[in-house]
Amino acid sequence: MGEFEIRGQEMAAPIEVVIPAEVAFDIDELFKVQRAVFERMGHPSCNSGADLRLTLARRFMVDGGGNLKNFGE
Amino acid sequence: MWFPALADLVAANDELVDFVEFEPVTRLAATPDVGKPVVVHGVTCAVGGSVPPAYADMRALADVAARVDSPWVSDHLSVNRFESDVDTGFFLPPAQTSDAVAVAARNIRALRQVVRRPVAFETGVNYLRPRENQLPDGDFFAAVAEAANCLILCDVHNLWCNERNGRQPVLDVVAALPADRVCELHLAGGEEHDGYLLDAHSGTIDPELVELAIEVASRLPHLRAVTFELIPDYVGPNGIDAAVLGDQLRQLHRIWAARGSRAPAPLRAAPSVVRGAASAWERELESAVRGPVAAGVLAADPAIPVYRELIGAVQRGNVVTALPLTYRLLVLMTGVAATDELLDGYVAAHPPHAWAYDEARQFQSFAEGVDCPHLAEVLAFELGAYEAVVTGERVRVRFTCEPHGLLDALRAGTPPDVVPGSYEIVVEPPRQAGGRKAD
Repeated sequence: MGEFEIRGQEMAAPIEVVIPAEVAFDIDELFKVQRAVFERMGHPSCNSGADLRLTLARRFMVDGGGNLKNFGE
Repeated sequence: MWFPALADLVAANDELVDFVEFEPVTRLAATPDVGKPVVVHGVTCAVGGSVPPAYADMRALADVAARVDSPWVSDHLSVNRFESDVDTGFFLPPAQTSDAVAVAARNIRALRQVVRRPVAFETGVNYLRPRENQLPDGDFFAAVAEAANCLILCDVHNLWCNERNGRQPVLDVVAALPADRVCELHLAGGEEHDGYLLDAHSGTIDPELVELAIEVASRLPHLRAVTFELIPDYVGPNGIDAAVLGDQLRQLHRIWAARGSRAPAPLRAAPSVVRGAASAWERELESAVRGPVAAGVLAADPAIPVYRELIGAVQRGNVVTALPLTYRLLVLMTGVAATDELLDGYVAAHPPHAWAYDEARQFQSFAEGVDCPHLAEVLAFELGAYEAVVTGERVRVRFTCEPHGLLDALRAGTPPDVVPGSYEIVVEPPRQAGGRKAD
């Protein structure tokens, strides 16, 4: 997803890591239950009903074994 | 209604789809490429309020419409911005008075001048009680259409919600409309909430609504499109697969087949003048839905708590959508209850923004000082990635721990096990994908 670039300066200087923006927002990884989240990053869409996104965000948590579990529901 | 997440379902029913309707909700929207005609349906240029649509938003809508050669452009006869320069966060109903008719007509004419093609307004959902000193729903829509000389997108599901929630019956509304101006119907599924039927676009079309839509279509001789609206979020939870969508599209074809099969209702005389300034109504709306407690003449309407709840839910949804890693960090490090309390406090103290980036920046300011390790860094990283995309420039973000371990854990939704250190992430804009050599 990126590469480390150690600039060889004194220890106080930060280690540089380069990441492409589209990898930073890999939608398939971030939201397995809502694959099209990016096109909704803007004005709300024209439905006038309940908004599920907080509920869906809570669901995307996994335990140490990689099993999806529900937080706080 | 087309969303990228629905592309597979649409493709599986290709022979049943004659066109797609596209809703450009982001500044980076890519138009659908599905080999079908595309009709543009806006959400950023609502025409019902005293604050006119921003020229930049109309221009953006015009560009999308030109790209796909949309036969008309539609947007909502709703209020989406208060005169206090605050976004409503939700489509709110306009006053149904003569002044509001004039306001809407002015906005529609301005929009038409920019998009340079016919404009249709969508008949909106209205959860408020009808008011005796305002026009009935159908008369209001008709007056706007005549004053603006525009088309009408008749959202039958909205009108059905309105009827079920105590407003004018659908067929009475339709009887009042100038039938030759109705170019499109919207159909959708809704959901019950606190005694209201909400226009949630959450599922399949109720069979009763299908039959009602057939009756509506029969009175519309110049109908050109029938659209099914479905939010992708509900596809999985409501079990909507290709077969279910196919069935819905067949119902739309039944509605389409019925168009113009009956003589439309005769044109009605224009309603008499109904007093009431649109801006005064909107100030009452703002008093009712904004602030810690509902206030003003609308505060007693039983729908106001529903509106306040829906507006808050959308604002929270925008925060977690724009800042998914930040949200997970908060939940993993402080717990769901504390995160919910933080979001509740944020929503109560800050108005919503139309654009998720602005909402995220506002949340970043609010979250300064919140006791959560690496919160400021993750916020800066997520906002930095947006900025890299929008500006095309590299963005640098400092971390006080090894960032891959932290960000990978957040992406997976697992508690991070961080390694302290001094790091700087350089986020490359999309056209410059990949790393660069050290200096």
